[in-house]
Amino acid sequence: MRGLDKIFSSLRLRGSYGKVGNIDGLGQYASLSTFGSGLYGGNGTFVFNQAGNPNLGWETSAKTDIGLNFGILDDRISGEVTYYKNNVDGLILYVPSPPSAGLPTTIPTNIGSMYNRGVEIALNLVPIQKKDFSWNANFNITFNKNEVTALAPGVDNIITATGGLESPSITVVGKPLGMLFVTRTNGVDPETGRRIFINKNGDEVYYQHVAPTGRFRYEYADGTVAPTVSSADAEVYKNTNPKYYGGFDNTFRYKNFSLNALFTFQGGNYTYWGSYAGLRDQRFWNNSTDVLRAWTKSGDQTDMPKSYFGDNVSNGSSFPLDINVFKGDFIKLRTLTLAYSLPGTVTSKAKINSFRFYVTGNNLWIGTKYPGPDPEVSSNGTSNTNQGIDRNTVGNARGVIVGINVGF
Amino acid sequence: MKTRIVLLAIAAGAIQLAGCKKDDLEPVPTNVVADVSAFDSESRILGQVNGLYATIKNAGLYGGRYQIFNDIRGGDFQNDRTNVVTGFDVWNYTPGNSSGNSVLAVWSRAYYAINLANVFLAGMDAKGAAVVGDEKANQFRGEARFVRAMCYYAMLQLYARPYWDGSGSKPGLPLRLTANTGPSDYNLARATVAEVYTQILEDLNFAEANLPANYATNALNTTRAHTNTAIAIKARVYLSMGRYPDVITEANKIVPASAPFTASTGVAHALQASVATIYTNYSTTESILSMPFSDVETPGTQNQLGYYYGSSAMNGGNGEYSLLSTGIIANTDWAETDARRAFIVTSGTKKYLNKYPKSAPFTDWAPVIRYPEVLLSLAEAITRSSNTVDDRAVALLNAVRQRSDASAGFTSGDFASADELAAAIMTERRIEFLGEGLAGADLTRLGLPLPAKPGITAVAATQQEYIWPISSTELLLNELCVDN
Repeated sequence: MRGLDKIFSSLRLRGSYGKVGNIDGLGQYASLSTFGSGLYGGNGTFVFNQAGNPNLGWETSAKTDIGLNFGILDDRISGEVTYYKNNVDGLILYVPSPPSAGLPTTIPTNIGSMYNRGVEIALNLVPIQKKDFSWNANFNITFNKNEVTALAPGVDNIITATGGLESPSITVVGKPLGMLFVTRTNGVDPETGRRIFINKNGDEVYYQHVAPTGRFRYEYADGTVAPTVSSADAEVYKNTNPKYYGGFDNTFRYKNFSLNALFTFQGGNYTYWGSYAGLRDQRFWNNSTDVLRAWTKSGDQTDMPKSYFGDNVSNGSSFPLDINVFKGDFIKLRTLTLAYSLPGTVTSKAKINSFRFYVTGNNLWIGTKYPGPDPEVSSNGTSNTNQGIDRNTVGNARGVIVGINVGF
Repeated sequence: MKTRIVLLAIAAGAIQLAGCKKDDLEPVPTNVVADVSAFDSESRILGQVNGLYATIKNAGLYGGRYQIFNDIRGGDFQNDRTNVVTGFDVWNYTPGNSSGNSVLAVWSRAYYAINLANVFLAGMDAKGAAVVGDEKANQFRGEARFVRAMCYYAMLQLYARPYWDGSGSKPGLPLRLTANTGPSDYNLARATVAEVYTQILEDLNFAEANLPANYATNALNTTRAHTNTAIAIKARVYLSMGRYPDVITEANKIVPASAPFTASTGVAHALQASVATIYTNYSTTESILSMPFSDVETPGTQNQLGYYYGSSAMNGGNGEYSLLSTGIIANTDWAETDARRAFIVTSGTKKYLNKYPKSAPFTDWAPVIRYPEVLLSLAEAITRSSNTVDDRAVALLNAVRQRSDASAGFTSGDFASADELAAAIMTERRIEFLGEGLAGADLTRLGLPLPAKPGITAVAATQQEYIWPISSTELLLNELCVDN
């Protein structure tokens, strides 16, 4: 080990293993079937309103952590590299049942197993350290892999809804939690301007919102009637879990000025922009100008089908379509702060401890190919089986704050 | 010293035992009622019976939307808001598998009520019957089975081919008859239309045999099922199946051979002198079953009949649907002197239906079945089964029409054929039950096309769009269920 101290100013190897129980997100009495009360014609009612699971148990996480902390050049460069693995058994998820079963709620069930594993790398750099000028930088990145390894016997998948509106998320074995679950399309027929769906058998089905006499709303290419296409024809499509994410924080100091810029980024995930389906819905409301490039005559090559008033199917408003799934990669300038502190010579004369004037901007810039307002939103909050859904969600706000800190 | 240690050890052991009491591992909550104690008392059991009705009264079903969806599948209303939340797609015959407010909502609401009935029936067998005694238990079971029948019937009218198509051999509904309370394999294929109807009739026959003849108050007679309610609904069900002799058998139980038409047993159902009465006094003997609302029991947003059919100038409604100028209001046989014309109110350039005049929160009761429906179903069944112009059928038709327009009676001589009489009865149904949810089912049970409306072409009985598609959520989660 003698030679190491010539390279490293500090070096530490660490590791941990632990097993913890988790009942996060479980409501009260989740194991019990309960009844609620109401009124009918002025008389009290008593209604079965929560389906419980008497066999509900702990969800357990076995967490392994192996890390290396190091410092080089008098800790001008320091950092850590961590490998982690988190095995979750008895994973508690709310399992939906067919509506015809008539259950009032989805049932919390110890449904399976999954793991999260990956590597975290964090670097702290001090590239410049002078009397009047310094530059500190922190960079961190996490590569994560999530995979569901088992579901309970008899459960092939768990479909998760967004606000009771639609069900664009699915969890299956061998994939990460909360994959996008959408019906596939194959463009717009240049001949007739109809949306082409691909049904669960892989057949192309041409759709027109109202069929002329003798024709059908859903037709095969040869003009024969096809079964309706719906979310029941959806397939497990894209991953919503970022493969990597992290941040890059820089602080520059020049005399009494300081400038801080924090960037965050993530990538490798897809986001379902449900709002786009609403924007291209052919009912009369605030619609997208995309309709200007709608199909109008034979031979038109376009992504917008022939306009038909009231058509809420062709562009995904009625059920989720692949055309509204986009890459969610982004890099954001999360905060930018410019500050000026009065020199100590001035503050002491004014009998104050410190005086700092600053301007901070939040979310000033985003670099992304995502066409919606912000890929970093979720219509479903922190729920993990239906993430990556942007349906009528407001983007993170851009803000500028001007402030003064005075310390007495 | 030794004894002390032994005593201490015993004491410690006792404390340990107390700490591990089994009851404390399986606590029963004190602020909610769990399934284990749901059948402990008559008041809880009765609360569940009321809960069954409250569930079919709720949003998606008989509290408004079932009636509205059937009204707007007919040809008498104009959609003015193009909002699928309030039925635009139902009106123009394009609801999809995932249409949330129609196809998904009716399906899940009806099956929720069905399962509540099944849970109730299982609980009564296991415990409830011993608590309330056999007679009362069967009466409550009758109500549960009545509610279950109402749900299956409602869904058959929308999601399945009519009975005449292959004599009920087409796909009907998944027939759920067992109590579902926890995790299980819930895949189940659709039974045939005939099998579902058979179950509906079994439930209604049980209800008829076990329900009380009447309740203590008029309000209860209108809001809970009694013997005559089961009979009246059976007449409706047989009519939907085209089993006219059975319609006659059922209707005759509560309709005398000649006027005045008043039920002679049970609740004395009869027409009120003025048709206007029943939309303000909700619990007369004419209203066989209605869904009650009040300021503390409101229909909820965008479910209210008055909100759909009233204009803002009338009752602060949203004017979702005006009366189509080419619909039944254009019928020249419907005289201006007819009292039912008073329900047509002009507001701006449009005409609206004013049967539900209360303003927000729109608490007019939602009618489910009224006595004149039984009279007209009987008249129609007599006409269609005998294929003659029968005097009693004409008298039944007259009873409904002349109540509102004394000068407008028919005689047998007015009809050249049974078909003409049947057509007159159908017209009378459209007039009498405008905005009460019969139009759609009246078209499909006879195989009539869903009518053309402005900008909308007619849908023939053979077409895909003639019935609703199946709920996409059902198709996703129930692998054995197939789409229409």
